[in-house]
Amino acid sequence: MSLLEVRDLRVSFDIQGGRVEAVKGVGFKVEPGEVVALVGESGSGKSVIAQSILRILPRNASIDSGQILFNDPANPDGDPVDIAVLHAKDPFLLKLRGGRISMVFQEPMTALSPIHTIGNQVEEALVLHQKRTNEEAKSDTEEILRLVGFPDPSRGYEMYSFELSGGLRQRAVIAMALICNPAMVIADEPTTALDVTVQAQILGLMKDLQKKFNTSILLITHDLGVVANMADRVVVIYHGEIMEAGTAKEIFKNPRHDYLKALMAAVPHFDMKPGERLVSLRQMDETQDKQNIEKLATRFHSEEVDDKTRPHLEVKNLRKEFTLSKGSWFGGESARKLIAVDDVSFEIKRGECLGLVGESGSGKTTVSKLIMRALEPTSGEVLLNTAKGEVDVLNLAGEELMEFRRRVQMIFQDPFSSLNPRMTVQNILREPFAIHGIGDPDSQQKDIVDLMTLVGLDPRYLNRYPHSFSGGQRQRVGIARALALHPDLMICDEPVSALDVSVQAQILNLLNDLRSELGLTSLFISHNLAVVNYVAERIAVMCQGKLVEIASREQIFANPRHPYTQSLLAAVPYPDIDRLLDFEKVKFSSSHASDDWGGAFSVSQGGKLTRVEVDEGHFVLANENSDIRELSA
Amino acid sequence: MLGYIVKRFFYMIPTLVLTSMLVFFLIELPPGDYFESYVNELIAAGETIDPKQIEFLRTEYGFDRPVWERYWIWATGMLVGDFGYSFEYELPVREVIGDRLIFTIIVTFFTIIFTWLIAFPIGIYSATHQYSWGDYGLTFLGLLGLATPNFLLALIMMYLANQWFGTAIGGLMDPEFVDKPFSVAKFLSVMEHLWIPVIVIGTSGTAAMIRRVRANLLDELRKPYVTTARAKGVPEFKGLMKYPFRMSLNFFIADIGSVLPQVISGAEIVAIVLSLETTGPLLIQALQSQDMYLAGSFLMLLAFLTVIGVLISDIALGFLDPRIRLQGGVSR
Repeated sequence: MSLLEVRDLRVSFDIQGGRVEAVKGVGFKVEPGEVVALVGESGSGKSVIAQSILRILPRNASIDSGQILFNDPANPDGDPVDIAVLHAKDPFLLKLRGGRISMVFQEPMTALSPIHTIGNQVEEALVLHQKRTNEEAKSDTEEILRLVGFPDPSRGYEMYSFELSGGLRQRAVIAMALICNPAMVIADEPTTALDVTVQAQILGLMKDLQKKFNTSILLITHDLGVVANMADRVVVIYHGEIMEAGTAKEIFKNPRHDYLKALMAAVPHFDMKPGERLVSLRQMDETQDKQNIEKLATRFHSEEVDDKTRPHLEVKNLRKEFTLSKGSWFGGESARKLIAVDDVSFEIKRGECLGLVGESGSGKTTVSKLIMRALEPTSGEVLLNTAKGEVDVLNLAGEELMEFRRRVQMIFQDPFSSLNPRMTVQNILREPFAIHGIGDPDSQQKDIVDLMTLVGLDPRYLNRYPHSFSGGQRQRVGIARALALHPDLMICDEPVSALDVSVQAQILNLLNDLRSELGLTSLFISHNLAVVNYVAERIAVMCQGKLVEIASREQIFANPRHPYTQSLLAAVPYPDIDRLLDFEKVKFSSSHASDDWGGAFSVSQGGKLTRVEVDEGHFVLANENSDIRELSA
Repeated sequence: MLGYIVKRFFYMIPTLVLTSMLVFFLIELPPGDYFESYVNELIAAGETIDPKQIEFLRTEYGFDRPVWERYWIWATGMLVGDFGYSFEYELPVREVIGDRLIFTIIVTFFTIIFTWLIAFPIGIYSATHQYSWGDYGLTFLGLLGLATPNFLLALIMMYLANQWFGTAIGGLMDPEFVDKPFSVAKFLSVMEHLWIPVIVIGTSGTAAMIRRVRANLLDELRKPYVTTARAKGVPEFKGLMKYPFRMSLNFFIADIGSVLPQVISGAEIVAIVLSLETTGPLLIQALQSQDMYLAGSFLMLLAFLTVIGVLISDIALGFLDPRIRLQGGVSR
C-alpha cells in the first residue's frame, strides 16, 4: 500500500471576482522510503499540492474535490485517512503536521523566526507530538542538530537564525522536519536559495538522512539537476496538470511529453557545443526577437573604435573595505573592517563577455558597483578605453562622469524591484534621455518605440505599469532601459536568476543576440556556472573578495586549477542520471574552507598570494613560493 | 546587555542638556518677562506700582543677569531638585507641580492600560479575520471613536455620569477631598471619577492603536515562519501568540517613548473641560502668563519623560529581540 496517494486533486483560489483553478485533477503516489520529485515552473501548482497535503493552504484557497489518502506505517492496521476531507480543525491534522508529515521550506532565513532560538524552534514539534521532559527534549534536539551537521550542537541550540550561515539555517530547518521521525518529508525547493556548494552538501545530507530513517521525501523543485540527483520517481507538472510521470530513469532517458523535452532543452548545460542555442519554450518569440534586433542594430550600435587591440575595460588592483561597526561616541571598541574586494584585477576586450562567478558574499556585485562608480574603492584603478582615448574612471567628475554614466549601463537581478512601480514603461524608458538631455520629445518617443521593438515588446504596452508585465517582460524593459543611451559596456548582475527556466532561455538568447549585433562589451555576473558557460567567452572566479582563477571558458571547464573552482564545478548538479554528484567529495568543501586549499593556494605556510599563469591566458591565484608543476597537478 | 544599557544611559545626558537649552531659549523668545506682563496687568486694572519694587524683584530673581548665567542657575538647580520659583503661584515650582503630577501619572497609566486592553484583542481579531464583517464593524466603531472630538465626548460623558451615577461633575475627586491628605475615601473618590477621563482620552488613541495592531500583525501573518509553525502542528492560537503576535509587539514597545508625553500633553483640552487637576491646564496657563520657571520646568519634565520612555522601550526591545541585543557582532 502506498504511503500517500493523491487522487484527482482539484484546488482553486478565490481571486477578486472569480475562482482560479490552480490544481486540475492531479494524481500520484508516494511509496514508503521513496523520493518523488514534483517538477514544474513557478505557477505550476506544485507548492499548492504540498500545502494541500498538510492542509496549510492560504485562506482564499480551497480543495474542491479529490482525495489525499495517507497510510501511516506506524499504524499498519488502520484504514487510510483522507486528508482532503478532514475538517480544518480536526485534531488529527495537528498530529499529522510535523508529527507524521513535515516540511522543509525554501527560504531558511524567513522560515525561521528571528526572535526564537534554534533549539526552541526545533524542539517545538517534539514537545507538541511526543511527551518529553525539558531535559529529554533538549538532548534529543542536540542529537538531531548533530546529525544534520551542526559543528557544536549545544551552542547551536542557543543560537538565533540570523547568527547562522544560510547552509546551517537550512540544516536547522531539516532538523526541525526530522525530529519527530515522520513518515514523509515534503521539501519545497529546499536548496533554491542556497549557493551551489552548499546546495550539494544539503542534498547529500538529505539523501543520507532519508536512507537512515527510511523517510519518504516529496521533493518540489524546478531544477532538473536536483531532480536527477535525488529522485527515484518524477512527476512533471505544468499549469496544474500532470504532463508526465515515471521513474527518474524513464524521465531522463526517454522524455515523451513535449513540455518535458522543451524544459530540458531550455536549461543551459556544460556540454553545449560552441554556437549552440538554448531552445526557449516559445519558439515564435525567438525568431521575432532576432529579426527585430537585426533591423534596429545600426540605430543602437555602440561606438566604433579604431584601436581594437587594447582592452575595453581594465581593472587593476581594486580593493574595497567596509567598516562594520563604527566606534561609539565614547570610544570603546575600534572599527572592524571587512575586505569585500581584495586586490582584484582583470580586463575585458572590446566586444567580449566576461563572466564573473562566485557564491553569495564573494564580492562580485561589489566589483560591479565599484566599476559603475556607485561605491568608492579603497584603492585601485579602473580604466575605460574609448574613441577619445583612455578614461581614468575613478577620477572622473562633472561632465566627464555624466558621459561615463552614459557609456556604462547595468541590468539588474530583480525585475520586480528594479523598476519603479509608479512609473509607466514609457516614463521608465524616457528617464535616461531626460537625465542626459538627449533629443526632443519627438525623437525620444521614436527611440522609445524602437527600444521596445528591439527587446521584443509591443510598443502598444508603453502606457502600462510594470506590475502588468510578467517577470520576463519586466526584465526586457530593464534591458531596454539599459540600451537607451547606446552604451558600450553593459554590466549584467544576475539578470536571469529570478526567472523561470523557460523565460531564462529567452532572456539569455536575447542578451546574446543584442551583444553580438550591437557590439557590446559585457560583464556578466552570476552564481550559476551553466549560465555563465552559455554567455561568457572568458570566466573569472571570485571567492572571499579575491579573484582566484581567470581563463577562457574552455580552459575553466576542461582544466580548473584552483581548488575552489574545482569544488564549484564538482557541486553543480547535472540534469543527467549518469553523472550524479559525488556527495562524499562535496561534503567538506565550502567557500569558507580556504585552509583546505593546500599549501600552494594558501598562505598558511608563509609567503604571499600572487597571480600565476599556468597556461596561455589562464591565471590562478597561488602562493608565490609554489611550484608551477604543483599547480598543474 | 549590561554594556548596552549603560551606553544608552550615557546617551541620555547630551540629549537632556540640549533639550534644556532649547526649552530655555524658547521660553526666553517672547518679548518681555513675567514682571512686564504683571505690570501691564496692574496698569490695565488701574493700579499703580512702584518701578523700584519691580526692579528689586528683577534683581532678586536674577533677571538682570545675562541669559547664559540664568540658564546655568536654572539648569544646575534642577539637578538638585530646585526647579525655580513660580511667580504666579508664589510657590516653588516643585510644590505647584507635585500633586498634579501624581494625578497625571494615574490618569495616564490607566489610559494606556485601557487603550491596550481594548485595542489588542480587537486588533488581533481584525487581523486574523481580515475583510470579514467583524473586521469591518470593529474598524467602523474605532474610526467613530477617532472622529469624535474629545471635548464633545467629555461633555457627554460628564452629563451621563451625573445622570446615571450621580457623580459630581468635573474634577478628579469629589469637592470635599480637594487639598485633603490622602485617605482611602479620597482614593475611592478618585477611582469613581477616573473612568470618564480615561475613556475620553483613551478612545481616540484606541482607534489608532487598533489600526496599527491590525496592520502590523497582518504584515507578520504573511511571513513564512507562520507557515513553518503551522506545518509543525502548532495549534492555531498558540502559534499566533508565540510567533506573529510576539513579533508585532516590537512596534508597540518602540512606541512607549512617544506614548508617555503624548498622553500627558494631548489631554490638555479634555483636562480643562473636565477641570481635571492634572498638569495639562497648568502648562497652558504658565505659558500664557510667562511664568517662565514653571513652564520651563514643565517642558523639561515632558522631555525627561520622553527620554525615559525611549530608554525603557530600547531596553525592553533589547530583552525581547535578540536581533537588537546581538547587533554588530556583540558577543553574548
